Amino acid sequence: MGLAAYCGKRILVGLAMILSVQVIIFLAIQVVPGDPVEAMMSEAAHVGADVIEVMRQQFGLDQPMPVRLWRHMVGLLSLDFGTSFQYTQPASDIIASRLAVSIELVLLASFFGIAGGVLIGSASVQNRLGEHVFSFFGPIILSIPGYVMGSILILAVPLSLGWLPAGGMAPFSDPIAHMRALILPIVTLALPIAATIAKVTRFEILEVRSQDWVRTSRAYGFPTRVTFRRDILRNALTPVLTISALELGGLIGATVLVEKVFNLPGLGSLLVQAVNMRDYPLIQGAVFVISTFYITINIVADIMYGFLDPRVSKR
Amino acid sequence: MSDHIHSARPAGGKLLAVRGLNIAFGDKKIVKDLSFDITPGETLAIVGESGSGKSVTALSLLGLLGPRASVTGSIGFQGEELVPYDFDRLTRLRGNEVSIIFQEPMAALNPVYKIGQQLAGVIRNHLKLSPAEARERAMELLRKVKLPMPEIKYDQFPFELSGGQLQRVMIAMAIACCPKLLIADEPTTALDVTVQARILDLLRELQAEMGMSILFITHDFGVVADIADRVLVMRHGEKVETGPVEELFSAPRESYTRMLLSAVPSLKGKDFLEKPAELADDSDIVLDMRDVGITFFGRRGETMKALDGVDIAIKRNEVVALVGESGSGKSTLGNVAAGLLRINRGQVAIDGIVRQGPGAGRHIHTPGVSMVFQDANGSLNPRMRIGASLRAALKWSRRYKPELDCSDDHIRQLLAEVGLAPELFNRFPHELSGGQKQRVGIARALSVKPSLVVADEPTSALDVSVQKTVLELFRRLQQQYGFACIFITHDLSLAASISNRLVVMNRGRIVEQGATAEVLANPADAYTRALLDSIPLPDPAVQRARRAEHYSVGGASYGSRA
Repeated sequence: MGLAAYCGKRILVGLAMILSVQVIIFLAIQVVPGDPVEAMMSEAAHVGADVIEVMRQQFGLDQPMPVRLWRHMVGLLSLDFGTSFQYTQPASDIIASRLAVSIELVLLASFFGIAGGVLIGSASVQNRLGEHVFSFFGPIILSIPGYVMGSILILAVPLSLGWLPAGGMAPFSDPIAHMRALILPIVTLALPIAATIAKVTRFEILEVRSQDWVRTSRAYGFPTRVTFRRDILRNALTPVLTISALELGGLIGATVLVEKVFNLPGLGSLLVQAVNMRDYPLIQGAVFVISTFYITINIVADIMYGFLDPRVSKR
Repeated sequence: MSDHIHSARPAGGKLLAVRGLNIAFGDKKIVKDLSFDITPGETLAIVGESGSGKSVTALSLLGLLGPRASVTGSIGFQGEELVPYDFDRLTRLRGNEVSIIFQEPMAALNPVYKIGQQLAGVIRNHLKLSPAEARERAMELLRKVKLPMPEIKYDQFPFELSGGQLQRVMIAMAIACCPKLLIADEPTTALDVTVQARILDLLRELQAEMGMSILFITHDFGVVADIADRVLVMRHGEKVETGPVEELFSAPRESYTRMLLSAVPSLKGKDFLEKPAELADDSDIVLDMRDVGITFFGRRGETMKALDGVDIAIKRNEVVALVGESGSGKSTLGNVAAGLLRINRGQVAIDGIVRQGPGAGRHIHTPGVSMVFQDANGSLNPRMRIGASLRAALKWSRRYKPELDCSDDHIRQLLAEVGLAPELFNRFPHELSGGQKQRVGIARALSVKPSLVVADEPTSALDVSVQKTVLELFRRLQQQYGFACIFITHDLSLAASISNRLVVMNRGRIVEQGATAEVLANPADAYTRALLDSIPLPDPAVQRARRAEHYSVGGASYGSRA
């Protein structure tokens, strides 16, 4: 099968999965008890039944469910998720305003997490110091929940040392302030990724190290570092890629706790808020973005897998 | 080539001088006080059974044993002392003056790089060449080792080449820097005999052209007779004897060498095992296969006929040897007989009951058939005691044969019958030797009183001396119980000594069958003749004469590929 055909097939399957997620989420939020109008009106004391009825009509909630599902799916074709109940703006606009922060956070955190993990994992096999760092800090980092880690970092760095801001966001127009605001959240997210990736990398290196071709490499007089990079690490990275894709894909919706701790306007906190308010258009939109991201990452990883291991793509 | 030729030979005429070599892993001494020499241009074969330390010795010459091994004594290469190892000195030698090729060419190359890339990498590691020059040199080497279509193979990955082709690539790598010594660690053990013959030819040609010495590690006396000038026999890490190849074969001094030589099955079949019993003409037919076909479907829709129109009938008391190279369908046929594979075409009947094909029931259970497997270790559950493994087989078969006895006493008796101590009843498989495990495998197969036994390469993982005792046992039990037997093997000599009838398979078809002695004396089919020609005979004089004949009959010997 050619690469193009393979990619085409994966993309089609991916699209089908994204649509399925939309339908499942649509049905799931209808089953959960609670109603968007009641959720919005719960604070206003006396609202007449007629007002509620008007609002329901305005949101389109008076229509039967199949009709609403159909409208939603048609709107999806033009990335129109409808108007947010709370904000009375198009849901896509609100999501777009939050998306940049989330994507920036996720991509930078996974880059540093994966690169750091591979480095620590490699070092843990190659020298004593690396092994100690790995075996001492790895389990600690993995056992601390992200929000605790974030709080500890805030205590340690901005509050005690007075470096870096403790939270909040700065706009792109001020790049230095912007990056300074992101450093601690990125560290918080990247540490557990690095710990996981280091573990996988170490395990795979130990596996590959005993393969015959490594002996061949040594038998033909290659320098140790060439053997390590070319015949051990390169082969060990294939499974690391698979785990990285899973970590990265899951990250975009899972940043909510870190967003809370560092007071960042990201997608995760928007989704939580939308679920609480039963803001259907916003939920659907956020889930759409998250599932698309996740599935795209996995397709990219599968294609890269073919490049890393020729046996996969050529068969 | 001329710019790579090395300087003059060292004084004393010795290329390699090993003196008092000791190798230990922790407390375990693997090689004890070993001394030997290799002179320039000579081929020294080290033979021995598993655990003799022959491979460890080979790897120690290049310092490839890893940090856990302690190596003491002296290894002198061209007058330079290698022990204790110095990494820089080793790096200079490895792949440059001393090269090595391994047993499993598939595993010895990195699966994620193209073979040309790996070969060019080795070239550039020792020779100062530009990438383009290295590519040119690699291509030249691939042609030199007679790899078919080198321009295409250069850009292919290891999994796209056959085992024989990969071994050619390894050889190209090994000779890239014109080494003075080539270490060949069982380089043909994993290959089919016809491929083995071509690889041995190639090594001999290259040696004649380049004048290098070869240290050849093997357990196969046929290969020794074919390639060696001198032989060193090892046992338990010690030298047993050494001498020129003709002398060692014609007049072995040590009893161990004589035992090893007598344990090698020969094509004549005489002196090895007693002749199989004559068959009565009116014996019942146990297995009857008619026009059996199996087609496997590949992922891209391609089809592979694993069996194609196979007709075979086996009588009670008869031992049929099934020979052929890998992929010939011999194991597939055995699996069909044992009811492990469904057929797409034809009919299979066992003991007169149709088990597959028109007239068969829905299930393909074949209660009258049992199997002895190649990997005795893998066919025993490591968590089950030996007695429990045997009881499990009996209990299952009792569904069809209620008369079977499952008692512990009976199982102990079975162990005694295959020459094992009844105490092994409570042992785990890892506590047994390879030969003992295969005896358990035979006991398990016979415990259910089968009418047909399918033995799939039952001794190919065993040392020759162990193989002989296991085969003797098998023969005795076969004659005692009179079951029919399909004996699958790649070793024609072994087939010659154990079978009444020889069936030769190639690409899923039976190409020739008949009384064993007759087929061997007058092979009718070209493929059978090619197989017979490829087997190295354990007799240096015969082997030399045969080789001379091949070279005189047209330049195209079996060493070149059309």
